[in-house]
Amino acid sequence: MSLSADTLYIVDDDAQARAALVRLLRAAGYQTRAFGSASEFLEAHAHLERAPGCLLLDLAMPEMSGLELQQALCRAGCRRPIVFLSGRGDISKSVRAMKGGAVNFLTKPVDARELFAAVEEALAIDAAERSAWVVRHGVVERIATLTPRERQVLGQLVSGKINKQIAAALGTAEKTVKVHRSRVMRKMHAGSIVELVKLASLVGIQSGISPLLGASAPTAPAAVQPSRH
Amino acid sequence: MTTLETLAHELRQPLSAILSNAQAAQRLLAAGGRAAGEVREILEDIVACDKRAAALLRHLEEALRASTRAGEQPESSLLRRAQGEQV
Repeated sequence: MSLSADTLYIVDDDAQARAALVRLLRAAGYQTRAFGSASEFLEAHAHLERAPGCLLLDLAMPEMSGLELQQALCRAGCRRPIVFLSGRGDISKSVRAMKGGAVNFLTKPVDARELFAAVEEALAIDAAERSAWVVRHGVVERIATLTPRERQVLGQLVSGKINKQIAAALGTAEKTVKVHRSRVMRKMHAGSIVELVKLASLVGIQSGISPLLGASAPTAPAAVQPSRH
Repeated sequence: MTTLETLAHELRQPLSAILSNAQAAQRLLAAGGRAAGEVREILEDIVACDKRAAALLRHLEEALRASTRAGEQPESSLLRRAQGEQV
């Protein structure tokens, strides 16, 4: 099983069910941390957000339910994957949980194999999210090295403008734009405009304009549209 | 949730714990080594969980009997008793 530093955070108000889950997951080689209530978990989790792992959450708990905890984490911007454990007949709740981004929704009593499969899926999602964050963070850091002028050129390039259009938009010479453009490409570690657009979209730059992601060449949008429609 | 749904949930907790405990013990025994201490604890919990589930069912039977005698709804007294069984 998993020998990584991943931790399974278990939140269940029932002491016996909680202890049994901990034993089973530890016997399978997982690292666990168990909590008796959502608030107990939230308190501890404030210091643990960077630690890799996933959440195993009982749906029906007094005070704060599993769904409420999911919402609280979502509001706090925490994207840690959640596997819900619940009794049967919670279809509407399971729909809400899945819409809220839950990885899986298991019915108690849950078989070990089913549980491990769900946990592995959640840990894989967590790892992917974390590496995506590292990539995004890298892009943000590269953008921070750009001068304000280079950032303007980046914005123009990402929206599909060619040098001549950029020069006109920024009121400068085409030759100067070429210089800025090559600096932007170098500082962003982008080998092509396509790559630059991908990097920029990772951090939401111009993400509102979706056709530009399809415009693989730095062509003016007006020239692209007839061929697409 | 209705009372019966709550009861069903209450019954699932010990059943879930029994299954996870038993499967944990199977893994510990399969791995060999010094698992005896933990397996003993697991077996104690399985026994306790089984008794808890059995008590829930006993309350259900009593409530059903009482309700057929008096023509009443057994649900509220049933729920009180069931939740009293929680650890």
